[in-house]
Formats: sequence, C-alpha cells, structure tokens
Amino acid sequence: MIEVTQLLNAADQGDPQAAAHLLPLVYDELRRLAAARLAAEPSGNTLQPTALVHEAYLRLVGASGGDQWDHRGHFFAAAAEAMRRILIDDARRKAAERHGGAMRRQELDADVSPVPEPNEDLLALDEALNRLEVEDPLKANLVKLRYFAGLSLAEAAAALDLPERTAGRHWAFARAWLRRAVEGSSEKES
Amino acid sequence: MTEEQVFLAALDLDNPDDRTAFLEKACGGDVAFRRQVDELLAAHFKPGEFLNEPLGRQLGSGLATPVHDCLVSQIANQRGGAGAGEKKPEEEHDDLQFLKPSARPDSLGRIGHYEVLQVLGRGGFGIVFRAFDEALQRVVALKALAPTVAATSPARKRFLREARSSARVRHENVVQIHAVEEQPLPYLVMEFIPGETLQQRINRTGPLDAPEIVRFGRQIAEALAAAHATGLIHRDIKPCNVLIEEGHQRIKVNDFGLARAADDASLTQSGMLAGTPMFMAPEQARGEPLDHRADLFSLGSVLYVMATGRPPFRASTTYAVLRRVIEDSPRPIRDLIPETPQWLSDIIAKLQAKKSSDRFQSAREVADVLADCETRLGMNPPPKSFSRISRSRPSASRFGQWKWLVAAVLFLPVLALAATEFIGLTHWLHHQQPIPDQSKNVEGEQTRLERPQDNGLPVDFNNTLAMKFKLIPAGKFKMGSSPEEIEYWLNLVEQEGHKLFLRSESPEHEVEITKPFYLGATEVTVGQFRQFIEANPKYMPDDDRWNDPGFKQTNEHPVVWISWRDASEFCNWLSKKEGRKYRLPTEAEWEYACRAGTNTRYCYGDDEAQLDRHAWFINNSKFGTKPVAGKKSNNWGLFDMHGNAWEWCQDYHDFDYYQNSPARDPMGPEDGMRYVKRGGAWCFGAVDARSAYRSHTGGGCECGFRVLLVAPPDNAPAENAK
Repeated sequence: MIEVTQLLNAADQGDPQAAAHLLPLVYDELRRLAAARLAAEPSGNTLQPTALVHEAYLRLVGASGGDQWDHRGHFFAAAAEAMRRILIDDARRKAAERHGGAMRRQELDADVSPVPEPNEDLLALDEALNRLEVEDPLKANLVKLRYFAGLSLAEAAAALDLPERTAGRHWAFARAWLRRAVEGSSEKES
Repeated sequence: MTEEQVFLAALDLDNPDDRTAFLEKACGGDVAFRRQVDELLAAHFKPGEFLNEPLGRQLGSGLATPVHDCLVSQIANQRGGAGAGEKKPEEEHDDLQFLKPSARPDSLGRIGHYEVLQVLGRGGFGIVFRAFDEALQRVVALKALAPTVAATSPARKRFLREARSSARVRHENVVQIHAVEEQPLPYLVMEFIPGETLQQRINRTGPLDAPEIVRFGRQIAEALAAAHATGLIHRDIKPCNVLIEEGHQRIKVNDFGLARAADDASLTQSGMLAGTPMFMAPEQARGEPLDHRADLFSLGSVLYVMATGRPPFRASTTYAVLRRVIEDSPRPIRDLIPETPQWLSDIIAKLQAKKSSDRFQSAREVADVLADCETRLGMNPPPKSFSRISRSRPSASRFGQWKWLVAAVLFLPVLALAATEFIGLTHWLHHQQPIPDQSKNVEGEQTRLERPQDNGLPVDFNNTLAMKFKLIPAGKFKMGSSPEEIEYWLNLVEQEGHKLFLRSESPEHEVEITKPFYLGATEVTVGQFRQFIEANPKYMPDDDRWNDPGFKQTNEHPVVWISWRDASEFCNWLSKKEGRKYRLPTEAEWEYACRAGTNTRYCYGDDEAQLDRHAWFINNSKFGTKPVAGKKSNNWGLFDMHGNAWEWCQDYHDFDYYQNSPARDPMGPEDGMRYVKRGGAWCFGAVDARSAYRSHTGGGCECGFRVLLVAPPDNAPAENAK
C-alpha cells in the first residue's frame, strides 16, 4: 500500500519509472479481484471493469488517497493497461478453448446462455492499439481507459487532465483510426 | 495539415458536399493521403458498436442496468387503478413466459395457485406482482427472481436461503412473507401492503416533521430489532424499502436480507453493484465484514432523508457516493432545516457515526430511545429530560465543547450551556434560543474582542506593499492534538507516510507565546511577490513557475511554487526596504494564530463539513489556488489559514519535536533537513488543513507563505522619512 502511494507520488512528479513499476502492482490486485469475482460465480462470465478498478483503487490507495485527485490519473492509466492485459489474455484463452476441449462444459451447462461475442476482434484490436500507443500514447491511453477500464468520457478526460471536449475529439479520431486498422480493407502501414 | 486535423475538421462539417470540397482542398493532389482520410471517415461513420461499449460490460451483457433499487416502489401506483390502464405493451411481457395461461380475463397468467393480476415493479433482480391467492382467497404480493438470474444456481440458492430466513421474522413492522416457492422459478409470496413507500411520501410532501420522523423511525428500529434478534441483517435499509401502510400510517420494512441475494445476482450478471449505495454504511462501502450495526447507519441516513428531504451522501457516480459514505460527514441537518430539534439531529449523527462502535449498539436501544421521544413529544409540555439521548454520545460532548469555545471567545452569556452535558437537549427545551454561531464570526467582529495583552497596539496594520496585518495577542494555547483526535484520523487515513505526520502532532502540550506580533491577514499574493522579484532582478527564485503555475492566476492569488528560501528572501528584502522586522512565523506562532483561541480541529470547530466555508481545499478548488480572502476568516481576522497555499514556517521540521519542545516561544529544532509547512492546501484534503497538522514534504504548486511582522510595527520611523 505504501509502495503504491509512493509510486503514485513519484509518478505525479513526472518519474516515468514509477508509472512502469506501478503496473504490476495494480495488475496483481485487479487479477486477484477479477478471479474472486469469477470464483463467486464460475458459470457466469462477467467483469465489470469500472467496479474492479475502483475497488482496486480503494484497496491500494485507500479512501484518503482519493483526495489526491492527481493521483487518480496515474492510477487509472495503470489500471486501464492492467485491465487490457487481463481481458485480452482472457480472450486469447477463450479463443484457444474454442478450438480445444471447451465443448464439454457447454453441454453440461445447457441452460447457461452462451458467452457473448464482443463487437470487436480483440486480438486484432490489441495489435492495432499497440501501434497507436507508439504513434500517439495519449490517445491509446484514452482508449484503454474507456474500453478496458470502462470509464465514461468525462471520467477518462479527468484522469488524463484533458477538457472533455478535447477528449471527445481525441476519442473520435482514435476510434476511427483503430477501426480502420482492425476492420478496414486497406493494407495501410501506420 | 495532419491526418488527424483533416479528419476532425471534416467531422465538423455536417454537409457531405462541404466535406468533399474541404477534403479536395486539404489533401491537394495527395491521393494516398486522401484515401487514408477517407477510410478514417468511413470507419467513423460506419454503423456498428465498435468500441462503444466497454469490453467488460459486453462480456457481462444481459442485465446492464439493474434497478432492483426501488423494485417494489410501484406498489402504491396500483392503488385505485385496479389494474386498468396498467396493461403494459406486450413486448414488455416477454419475461413472463414462466406464467401458465389463465382462464381469468384480468389475469396475466398463473403461477402455482396464484393468479397474477398486475406487474408492480421490475428490476434486474426480479419482478413484483400483485396476485390473488386462490387457495386462501386473498390478495398477495409475489416477488419472482428474474428468469435470467434464476438460471444460475448460486443466486437461486441464496435467494431461497435468504427468503426463508427472512420468513422467520414475524413482526408488525416487517412485511410478512407467507411462502417461499421454488417452481417453476423461485418466488416469494408476501403480504400485500396498500400504501406508498417512504421515498414516494418524501417526494410528495418534502421533509417530515419531528414527531413523524420519530414515529416512523421508531417503527423501523423495531423492525430491525426483531430481525436482528433472529440473526438477520437487512443490509439495504433505504426509503424505498420502507412502506407506509395506507390508513394506519404504519411502517412495514421490506426486502429483509434480500439485498445480499440481489447484489450477488446482479454482480454476477453485470458485475455492478445493484442499486444505489447512498444508504450504505461505510464498512459496507469498503466491502468489509459487517454486523447489525450497518443497518443502524442506514437507518440514520433514512432519518436524515426524512428530516431534510435529501440523502446525506449524494454524488454523480456510484464511486463518488461510496467515497462520500466512507469519508464525508453529511451536511448538518440544521443547516438545511434549522427547525430540526438538536436532539433529533444528535440521534441521527450518532447513528451515522463512521465507526460502528460509536453508533448506538443495537436497534433495540434506538427503538427505546425513539419510543421515549415519542412518548414525551406526545405530552404537553414535554418533560425536562431526554437523558437517554445524550448519555452515551461522544460526539455530543465534543460538539458541546466546541460551543463552549465559541461562546468563550465571543464572551456571550451562554457559558452556562457548557455546564450541562445535555447541550442539544437544553437547547431544544429552550425553544430554539439562538446560540452563538461561528458564521457571525467574520472579519470585522474580531476587533470587538477583548484582548487584555494588546498593550495598546493597533489591531490592524498595512505596510508599503499594501499587505494587511492583524495583531495577534500574546497568550497560551494547547499545541498539537489529543490522542483521541489523532486516533480518529489514523483510522481514516491509510498511507503510512500520512500516519507518521499525524503522530507527530503528539503530545498535545501547552505553549505560551510571550509577545504580541502581527501576522499577514492573507497569504503573500502573486502581485506582492512580483514586486519583490521586480525590485531584485538578480534574484533567481527556485522555481520560475510562481508566475505561471499551470493554472490561471491573478495578482490576488496566493503565490505558490515558492521554496522556503524564496519566502525567507522575500522577508529579508521587505525588512530592509521598510526598516521593520519581517520573518516567517514559527510553527508555534502559526498554530496559535490559526487557532485564534479555539482548541478544535479547525479554527471554527470540529465539523469537517463546514470546512468549505473557511478553506479552499480539495473538495472545492480543483485545478488551482483561489484569490486570497475569499472564504471566512478566523476569530482574529486571518484568512486562508486552512487551505489555499500551504504555508512555510520558519523552523526546521522534526517529527519528535513536541516530545521536548520548550513551553515558551518554541523556535523549532536547532538543525534539520527540511522546514515546516502548515495549513494544508487547495489540492489536499481536510485532514491536512487542520490547525494542528504539521507537514514538511516537498515544495511545489501548493507551497506559499505568509509573513510575520515583529511588534511594534513602527519602531523605525526613519523608514518613512526616506
């Protein structure tokens, strides 16, 4: 807990190392929380990222740390990246299962509604996001905050310290950019 | 133009022709560039949900917005309607597949031996019906677990288990559960209560008066006592779970124990906490284990809504509500509804204590206290003792102490109040006799204070930079914080570093300031600091952001990004310029001046909820400092002692300094690495803004200072002659 707070402080003072060190801690906490959620209801398949992220924040930083609003930006950034890894790993695992022995479980739980397919091709999206991250880290962060951490535009804008209108324009561009990369017909090099 | 600029500019044009024309121009002849932009725009306008729904929510699709919250709140809506006009469009009934066809024309279908007559409410958790029990020939309410939820066995099992345990509670103030059925899906058969929910009642009439609050509150407490006696915790006491039975004005508490089943169900379906956490206890909001006292906190919040018409902890997001539940004190009831009796707001405050050990310890006790009040309210005139209310109230005595201090400071003849522990009660019995309110205590009033040790010095002094100073009389005060106060905050903060600083406020010890002095009424402003910089072109401040702090500032804002050295140099320059002795205050002088005769958490009292009137801090000043003297001053006319800029003091910082600090005019440790700063800042919380909080960390966008002028001010008349 101290460590997270110290790292957040260092990150606030512009130490890029701190942000990097923050990630594994946040990742572990989120993984643990997500696992606990899944264990509580193994046949369900749900992760409400915003709830997880907020819970992780309260656990790692504490309620009083919440006062330091500038902390939250760094925390959310780390959490969004962590959620991305958790969710993408999950998608990879599922994709592998689909080719493998997952059918039995489906048969056993006949009355469980099938796991919904996301609107996006997650693995392609992940790759595209990697490229966006190189070109424009700010917009990549915005996408992670919204899509993986589940923040609203206003919350994400606050976390990134952007006016909401600017964040909205960034979002429009990033979304189109990623969609072109994932779904577009062109073989465009970025 | 970059791809992004062209794309965004094109989006701003609504007309496709304009857009094409613009693209022609912007892309020139660059065909490849044009194609890229076209593809971006195509991707933008392409139908579909790409990225629109956060991934987690998609994976947990199904019940996106659970509204079990006020599941039964529509119960009253059916009154008099007799089902007419309540026929919902057919598509809304596709979740009623589990009902068997019925021969009755007014029936939606059958389940068991019940004819389902009407949908009273729907939520992510289930559906509530009005139904007719064919066997016993009576109207009942049915609550069925939503088919989607019922499909998963843990939720189903928990629903049944909780329903069965709540069926064991039999009490006139609890909605009686007649039966718990499992087929074709789990459902409860309950007594049907015609009437309205407490929420509807408040919506309809606004805040309730004291006798009604006490009457309803007592009945809710009775219901809780009955449930707690069987080991059942409600977990979700809120106004829409409280029904008011038509005609009798009798309270029936609903949904005992079901909150947990509901949360379970909706969590696993949507990953979201079902319903609103506005009435949750702090321990619930933190996800900690809880006991029956969580219900007492929620009861306090329900009484609060009855008294004020609004929930105590409101915010725009669930998370923000949770934080407020954990951290904030609700706005004092009497701020909102001044005629609320003090004893009632005391009872509510005690129920809403953040620590469960500070609350009443049982619903029985609450019911008894309220019953007592109810009886006495019924008498005319009410008898003189409400001793049960005041007896075990730690915060009442603190409140009393605060009042005493304000009274003492103002020399008003209400000191007698301090003699009784039952302050709130006394006050009530005296028919709202006005009490000294610290809100009167704004600048201007303090000049009337009797200050025996002023030695004829003027109270106000302005210098050549138009800096305003206030005379601070010599005197004694208690420096630091009591063990209880420190313990209180240690429980609230979680960071070890923070705790270290809190502990350094101990031990509380008496300090004497032997000479009067003058202290800046405000923090040094940007404009004043600028004069120093302009007069000393060679001086390089440690951080040039004082002039461009990263947020908007005027000359009237307190200067920040100031190092201790910058602050000291300013004082030296000013001393030389005016031939007077200016310096930074010592830590002791600062705290003494901040307290201005008080011994409370802040210069006006203990209530964090009122800090907003006195300070710019995290809750009210995001993204920057605010012009000085924008909030109320303390008793001695000093502004922004709490919050705005964090103020450098003269002394070195030492965590252990209070262990052996001199009792008279302490000057800080001989040596050290860092300097003290005091008073919290715009970007920090209420804990750091307290009179006693000592800090040293860092310098930066929060750091400014205020100047002390050694008295008497005009010991160097030569200066004026120049």
